[in-house]
Amino acid sequence: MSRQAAGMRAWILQRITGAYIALFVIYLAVLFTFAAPADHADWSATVASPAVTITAMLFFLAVLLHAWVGVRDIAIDYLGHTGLRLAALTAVALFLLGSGIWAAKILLLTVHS
Amino acid sequence: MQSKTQRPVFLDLQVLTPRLPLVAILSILNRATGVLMFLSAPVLIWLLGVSLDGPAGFERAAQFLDGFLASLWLFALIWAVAHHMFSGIRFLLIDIDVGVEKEQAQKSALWVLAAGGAVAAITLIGVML
Repeated sequence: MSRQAAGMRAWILQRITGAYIALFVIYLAVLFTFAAPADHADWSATVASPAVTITAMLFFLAVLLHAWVGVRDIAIDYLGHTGLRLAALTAVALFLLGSGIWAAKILLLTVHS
Repeated sequence: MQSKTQRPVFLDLQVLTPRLPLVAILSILNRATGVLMFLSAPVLIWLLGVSLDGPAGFERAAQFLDGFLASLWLFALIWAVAHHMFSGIRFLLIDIDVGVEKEQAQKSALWVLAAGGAVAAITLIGVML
């Protein structure tokens, strides 16, 4: 997609990731409401099942992208100073990347244990 | 003297509409709940890691969530997630030209507020039962 359409791309990305996140959150809500993990063995078995590991990985990726677009929109609206905005968005990007890597590590460690 | 009264008079008509429109409140709430979830992410990931780190860790995570402040936080977070989701569905519908008109947009904004509140209420009742 061209550079001119970058806003459109962000807009579409926000909606696609939002829809995926909503589906996964509904799964989580059903899981914790009707089959809340009783102990560690139960919980880690749930997380380590391939379907959950893969969909959870995609969930974290979707949240990362969704949060980036959302926070960027807020920064563009409220942080007028270019330098300040750049600094804030850099911090946000590092925060999100760090969180994503941390979450991925937890999921992978659970699969391997 | 006469010319003075004929000068344009500034009427501060903003005072006639002091209330923030409902749709504006909803837009702000969408951002506020988004930021709350964004800031909560490290705590949630920490909880995921601890709860998966052996039986003792699982107990530690459960104990943490039993705390008063953590319960308040979790309750606010559940409301935020629900509200943000309903709010997002509303924006999606507006994107495909459903409910763009002022009256419908106001009505759907009320529905979103009510639905988010309902999820929060059900959560609270569920916890107390």
